[in-house]
Amino acid sequence: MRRLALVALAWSTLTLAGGRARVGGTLEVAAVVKTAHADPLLADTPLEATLSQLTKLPPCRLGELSRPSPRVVRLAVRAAVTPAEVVRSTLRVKETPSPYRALLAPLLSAREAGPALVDFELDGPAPDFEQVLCHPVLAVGPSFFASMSDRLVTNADPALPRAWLDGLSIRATDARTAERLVAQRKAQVLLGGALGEGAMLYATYLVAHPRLGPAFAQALEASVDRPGLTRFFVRPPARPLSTLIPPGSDGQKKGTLVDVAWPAPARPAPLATPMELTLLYDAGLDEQRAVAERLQVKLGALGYRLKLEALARRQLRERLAAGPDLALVGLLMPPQPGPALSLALALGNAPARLSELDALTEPARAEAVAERASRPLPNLFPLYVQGLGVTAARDVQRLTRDAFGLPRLDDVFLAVE
Amino acid sequence: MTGGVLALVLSAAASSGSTLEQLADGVATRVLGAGLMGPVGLVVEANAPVLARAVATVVCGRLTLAKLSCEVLEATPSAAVALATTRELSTLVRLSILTDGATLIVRGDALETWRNFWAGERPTRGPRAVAIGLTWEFDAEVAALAGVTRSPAPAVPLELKLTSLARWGTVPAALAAGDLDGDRRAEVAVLLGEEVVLLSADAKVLARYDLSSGPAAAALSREPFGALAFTQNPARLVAWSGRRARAEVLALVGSTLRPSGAQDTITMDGLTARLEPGLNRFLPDVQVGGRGLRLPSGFQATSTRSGSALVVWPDGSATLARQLPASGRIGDVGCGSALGDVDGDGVPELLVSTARTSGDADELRLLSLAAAEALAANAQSARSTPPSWQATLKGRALVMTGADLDGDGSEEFVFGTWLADGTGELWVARRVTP
Repeated sequence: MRRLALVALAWSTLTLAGGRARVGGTLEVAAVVKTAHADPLLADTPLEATLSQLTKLPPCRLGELSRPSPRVVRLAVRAAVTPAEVVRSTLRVKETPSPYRALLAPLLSAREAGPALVDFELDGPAPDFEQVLCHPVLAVGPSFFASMSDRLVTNADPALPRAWLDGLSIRATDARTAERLVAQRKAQVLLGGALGEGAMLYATYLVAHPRLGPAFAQALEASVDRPGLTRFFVRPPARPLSTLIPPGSDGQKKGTLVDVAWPAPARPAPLATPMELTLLYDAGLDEQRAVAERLQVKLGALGYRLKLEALARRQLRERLAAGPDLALVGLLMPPQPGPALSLALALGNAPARLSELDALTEPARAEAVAERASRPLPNLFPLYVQGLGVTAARDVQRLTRDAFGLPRLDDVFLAVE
Repeated sequence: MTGGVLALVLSAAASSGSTLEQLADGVATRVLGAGLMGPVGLVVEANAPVLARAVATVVCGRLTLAKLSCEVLEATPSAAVALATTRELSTLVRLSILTDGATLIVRGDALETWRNFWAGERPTRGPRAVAIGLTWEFDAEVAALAGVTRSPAPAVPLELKLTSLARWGTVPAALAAGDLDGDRRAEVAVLLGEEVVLLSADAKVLARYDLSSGPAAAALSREPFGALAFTQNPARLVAWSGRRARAEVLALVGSTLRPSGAQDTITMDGLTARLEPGLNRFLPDVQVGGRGLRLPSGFQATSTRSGSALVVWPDGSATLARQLPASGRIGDVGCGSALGDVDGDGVPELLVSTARTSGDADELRLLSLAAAEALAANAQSARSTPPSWQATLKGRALVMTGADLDGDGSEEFVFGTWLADGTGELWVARRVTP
């Protein structure tokens, strides 16, 4: 109830042009987060990506993108980052065993094309590639803030627009403490709370080993109630996910993707011989533990005895490459349907490069992706999708979100009301 | 005139003194300027004895600082000459203090008391003398000494009508009006992104110019900002985008704006300033009439009319002054505020937007200069007095200027709004003739 004392800013009013923004001040942020990953490839939950982007920016925000030829995307680097760093960072994502490699599936090579130019050579037109370069996992320094001992201070890099704020002070804590800090006006922004609507693109899937076959798929679909699972075990804001990519992945404009439940199969008879399986999940995410335990109960009744194993995210990604029995995996899906579907397909070990879509117009591409995303994969089970809850005090102005639903704290200013 | 007023306004902003201090400075300046010598005798009369004593004390202090020894005389102005002669004072200053509404009026003279002994039966006085006549909008200190209660001047009925002139897909970053083609009617220049658009009074596009070829600014601003100014002799338009390092000087040749130079500063209504790289304001170091000043902070808008000057600060307040510096600031004044003489009486009115930084609507309030000065004297919000006229706008008014668009001798207010969808609109506010 104390949250009601805050003004939960409605995003529809936050995009308004206001008066002249005020310069200066330090924004106190309370973040409901356990761990902070320095590696953008691992900092992919909405909250972690938000924090990561305060000190690192994805390539599309480091300069101007252009297409000197249909198969080359050129980045004119503006910020104080070398083309070599951008190339190195991009190639690292392409070469690291991670589902996010699928985002760069059309990329043949990345190279320095000049003192401040990077050329990305593609295997085809890949019309969404510019937007892919906005994904937070591709982030590379610098950004609008630089780390100090106890806070972030405005980056003096003249190539980037100066943040209105002088600095940011971020306090990582639990949900109750964060809410108390905001209620007591010791923090002006709460990241990771239950309030605040935005795009929900952090999708969690259950990945099964192909050897488990359709019997397991039938057992899972028959026993798992996605709305109930989401409602009772997942931190809001969240919604059940029954298509391969979140409905928000069509840019929240066309509504091509319809979030319809796949028809639940008949409940199979329990296995005659119980099967021992290991379910891996992310130790840094409480809701994954809760969901894993729920799956343990539900599938146990059908003869699947799940052993739960909590892993750090880096280890989880490594084990994922080796093909575990079962794993809960969360991914920050791109808002564009094509790259989002590539990412989901890669997670399900299906071919991720959808070059046949390149020649289609944007509406036709979205329609084709929607049709493909509505067909299940035998070993990939979407469960739920989450967004990031954000509430802000009244004096926090111009708090907007990017296409991933992440708050743009660099654009915030403090009003003198 | 413009530069002088701005210098006074900005001097006051840089080191604001109380009305009494300004009064003492004014008297001392005149006594010294007349070449009068010390010791000085000072007689002050006022309705309130407390005020008279306070004025005498402060003025004597200023004269003493200027190395003119000073003595306060307890006498009527007519008897003071004999008393000063008796006490061998070289100069006599006689002041009479009046308060009228929010105005403090100081009248009097300063004269030599020495008589020419060799002049015979009709002795002559020394030649040095000066009349003193000064007015200020007084502050709370003087109000307390005089025992008066300040109240804003009553609003003068005045009605404006809003008309939309143009809409664009981007927000207007800067706005100015002036006569560039020599037809004695003002044109309007708008900065849209990095493009300068010159419009006729009826919003027909006369010319465009893209500023993006200039050298980039040292830092980029997050929101559109810039400055435009018209200069005369020769008629030029100076345009500065916040994304560029320098201002470009443009001349109108036929229907084309052509570059005729670049400069590191821009002069708006007598105030020469520079954009602060990366931010939405001007640097605090300015020049007025060739004199350098450092203001307390950067500022976001300025407007000068008929000896009155308005400066809008980033904290949502504004300094307003006529003839002499105001002692306080008006609160809740947005960047889309300007002075303009809409009724053609020679005294400008002030149209202010709000200082709010969020929301999709704005409010315009028209204030008489007297009402605005009373607000400044009491450091009150622009919303604390009844306006002559007010209206609610869709969008936020962030740029505004006064201009005589139709050549009728009275001005209109031209302003640009930022709309919620990222587009912009240009409006004109004209007086509704009774």
